[in-house]
Amino acid sequence: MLTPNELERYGRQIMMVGFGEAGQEKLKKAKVFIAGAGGLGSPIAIYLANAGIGTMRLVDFDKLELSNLNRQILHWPKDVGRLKVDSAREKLNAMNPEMKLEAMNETITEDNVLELTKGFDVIVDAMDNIKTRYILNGAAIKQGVPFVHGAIYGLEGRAMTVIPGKTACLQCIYHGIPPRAKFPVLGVTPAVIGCIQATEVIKYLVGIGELLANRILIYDGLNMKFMEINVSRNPNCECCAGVR
Amino acid sequence: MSVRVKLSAMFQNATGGLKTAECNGSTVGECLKQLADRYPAIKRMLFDESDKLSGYLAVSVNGKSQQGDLARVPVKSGDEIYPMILIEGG
Repeated sequence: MLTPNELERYGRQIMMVGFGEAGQEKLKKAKVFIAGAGGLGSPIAIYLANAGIGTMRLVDFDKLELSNLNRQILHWPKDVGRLKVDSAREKLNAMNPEMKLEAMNETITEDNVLELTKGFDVIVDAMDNIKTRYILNGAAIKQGVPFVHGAIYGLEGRAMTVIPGKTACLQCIYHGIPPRAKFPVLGVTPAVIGCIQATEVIKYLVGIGELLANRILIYDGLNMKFMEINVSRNPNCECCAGVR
Repeated sequence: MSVRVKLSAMFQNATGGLKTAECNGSTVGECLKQLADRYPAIKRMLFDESDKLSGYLAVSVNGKSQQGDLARVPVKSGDEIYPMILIEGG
């Protein structure tokens, strides 16, 4: 049941066809897991908090550096040196005090991923390395919950939503773990991709629209174009082969 | 007629802004090899040290992602190849 305050706060999205009070109630009941409080995690967490998600768990292990500030908009100059989860908690609690927020200072590993993500309705990938992305993708497949992927480089970004047992997963497409390297990025790129990921989460939870399932959306900011690649499940996928 | 290789922004940095390259080849591997020969700066993005297609590369042909041995995926005149390097940033 929505409170009078919630009906007013979320009134403009409740007005949307197919959304309504029922859609808002779904968001209020929803539990969203966000891996990473950086460039992608910032807009994802901000827009989901302001959309009225009921419960959010945000996990990151890092401290804020000055060079993060061009894109990690949850964090401000005064936060340099702080744990990103502490900075994020402060901002997100101020944005939406009604949301149940757990901002956890943890490194996501094969050993703890199932415990960390257990009971959540959707897992959102805002990581900065493919190894942890594979771990999260695998956890989503095992638990049968959607995995909303995003990645960026420079002025290019990609997004895809994985529906376990139904659509291609991350490892149907990508293989291997390249050596770690600093990546170039303009702050607006994770803003674009993070907002697309947040949109996917909201659509999935409310049950509206068409998800980025079996297709990768590619954002080319340099030439300001979007394109799509159709993907399909790999019958030999080391992660999701045989999953129904 | 030839096979077109569409280049993402990441590749365009290494090809002086070229957005599409024309190649002649009957497989994805042949076409990307021609591209790498023409633009050495992108060779290390597409191929590993033993001159095999990089394991971090995904490829679509005519907008459809390919699976298996990507180098041997057949292409014909008029097709469009889109190489995608795994990106990690977040």
